[in-house]
Amino acid sequence: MTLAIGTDENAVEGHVVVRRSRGFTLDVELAVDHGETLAIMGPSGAGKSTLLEAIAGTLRLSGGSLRFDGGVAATPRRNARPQRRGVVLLGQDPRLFPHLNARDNVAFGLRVRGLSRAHARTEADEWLWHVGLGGHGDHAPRTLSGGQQQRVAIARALAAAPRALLLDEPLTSLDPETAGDIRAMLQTQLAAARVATILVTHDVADAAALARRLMLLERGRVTQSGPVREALQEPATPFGAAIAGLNRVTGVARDGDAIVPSGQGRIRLAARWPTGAVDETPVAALFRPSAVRLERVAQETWTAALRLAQDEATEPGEWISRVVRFEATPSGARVLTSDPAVAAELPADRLAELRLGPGDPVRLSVRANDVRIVPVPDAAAGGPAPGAADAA
Amino acid sequence: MTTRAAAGQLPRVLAVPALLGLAMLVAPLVALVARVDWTTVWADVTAPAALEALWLSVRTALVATGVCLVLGVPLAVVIARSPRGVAAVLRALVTIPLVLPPMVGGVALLFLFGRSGPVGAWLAERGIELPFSTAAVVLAQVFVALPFLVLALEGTLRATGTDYELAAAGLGAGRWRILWRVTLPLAAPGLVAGTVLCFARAVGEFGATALFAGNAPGVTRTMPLAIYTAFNGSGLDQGPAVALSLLLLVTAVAVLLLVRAWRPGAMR
Repeated sequence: MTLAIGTDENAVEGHVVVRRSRGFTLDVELAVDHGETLAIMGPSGAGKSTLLEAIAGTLRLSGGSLRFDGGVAATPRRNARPQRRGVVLLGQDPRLFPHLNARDNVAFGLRVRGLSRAHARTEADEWLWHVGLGGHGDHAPRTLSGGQQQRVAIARALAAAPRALLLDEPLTSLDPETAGDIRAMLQTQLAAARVATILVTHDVADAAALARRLMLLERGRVTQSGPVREALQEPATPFGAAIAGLNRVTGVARDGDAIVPSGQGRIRLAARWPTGAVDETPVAALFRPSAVRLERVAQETWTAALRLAQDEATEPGEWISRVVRFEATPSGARVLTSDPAVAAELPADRLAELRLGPGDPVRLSVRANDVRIVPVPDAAAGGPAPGAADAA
Repeated sequence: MTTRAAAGQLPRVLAVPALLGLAMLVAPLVALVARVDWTTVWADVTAPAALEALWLSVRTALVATGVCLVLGVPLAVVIARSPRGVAAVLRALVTIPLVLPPMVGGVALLFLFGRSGPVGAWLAERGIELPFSTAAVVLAQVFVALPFLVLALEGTLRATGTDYELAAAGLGAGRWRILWRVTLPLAAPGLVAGTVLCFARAVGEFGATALFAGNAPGVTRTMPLAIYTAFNGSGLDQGPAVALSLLLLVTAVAVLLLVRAWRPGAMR
């Protein structure tokens, strides 16, 4: 699907095992083709940066091996030097050489490749122009803004013509507007450079804008991997659901519906398309917070609400819960309820009308049309599976 | 800059010993400058014996600084990139000559390079005799000046860290290119300060030189030795000796200004 440059081999391919103190083990298989961008997301401490350091060669493998273009290999016993890997790691800190101006920073990698000084400088100016910094070649790094520095760092990385570019949250320390501009610039430049890219991010917008494939990394293991769209539509773990902005409640299949345990017994959730899962096998119901309808329960106290729930058997797709807290959104708030943990998104006026407080009982409902029920792979049901491999 | 409020909370009487201490340091130098006979100072400095000492000092100190750079830069790099424990031991070893009385250094050098010393005997067999030669002057100067360069550079190297070196390696730069294009340019302030201090220490070296190299006019009699000899009543007259002392004082002040100018943020 992607055009391989120079070789049929993947730019980076291998099995990364890194054991760290306190029992943490990173165990990931991955492959990234030339011109392909793989996004990696995961909670903090999942081992995302560790993975990139292992690929860049600043961290030794404890097990497994890495191959670059099918040739240069790194193993626990033979740690191929970063120079031979042809991999550039770019993090939050642009790490521009402070004693060189922007142009000479970019020219550094070109000089390494053997270009003459004049030639390297001309090409460096071109790269600065590509990243939107035309005419800034003479600026010292400290006179540039954070966003401009990151642009220079991206130009420097791409100018070095690496096999793979590793981006470790490169936009995190920038304000949203700057980050957006640089994201757009990266989108065109990565496509133009056709370089294999591994992008670690906590912002799903980065993954959606820049990557074809998304890999979720949790506690050192891959919990989901696939095309970005698929991964966001059918998250396999609570973390995946959280980044996709979906509610994900787990239960078992029964007659095409999902039976979800709750504080007051069981909730029956019907879906737009009944699940084909065998009865009593684990399934997850997915629905958007905006699809959840939230009403105040007339009774003031929780026990009364409970009694109500028992008296009038709740309809399918309807249950009683308690408000845990609110999270502000640009146009209202997200109401988080407990047992099962479900978020409902309300516009500001509705929120004002309901006058909710933490602990208040509420009736939640979601229409079958808005629910999808997907089978839960065994791996994701009982926690991340060891070696849940990336099918590249 | 200390703030006025912070200074205002301490006993005012501290000002008395403080001023005395300052006078202790400055008054002798003022006395030296006062003793200079400005009408003859140029003639004194250019007197043949004085010029001879001056020229020898400049030559030997420059060579010694060169030797210090060749040996000291790698040593500083090795210490800065060693694990913490190893670095602490190495740094202590480097610091010993710094705090050692130079006389002791001279004696130690004699025992190593003297005719009965292990290296001296080996050299003597090949017809090379180091003690009491100009080479011995350089050797003595290297011994006392090297720590200044190593410690100044090592501190800067350690403070800079390895992040930029890793970035350069990621861009494909080889080890030599990283050293020349990244590590040393980034350590330039420490390197310049260390080199200047090193040169100043070499020019002023007296004790180790006197013991290990002796006091032969034109061969081992550097400026400090010439000054010492003059005040002992032989060799130079006191006039040229005072003029040479003034020259060393001016050198010291110049060195100080140079080093401060190179420390980032010091010229505020």
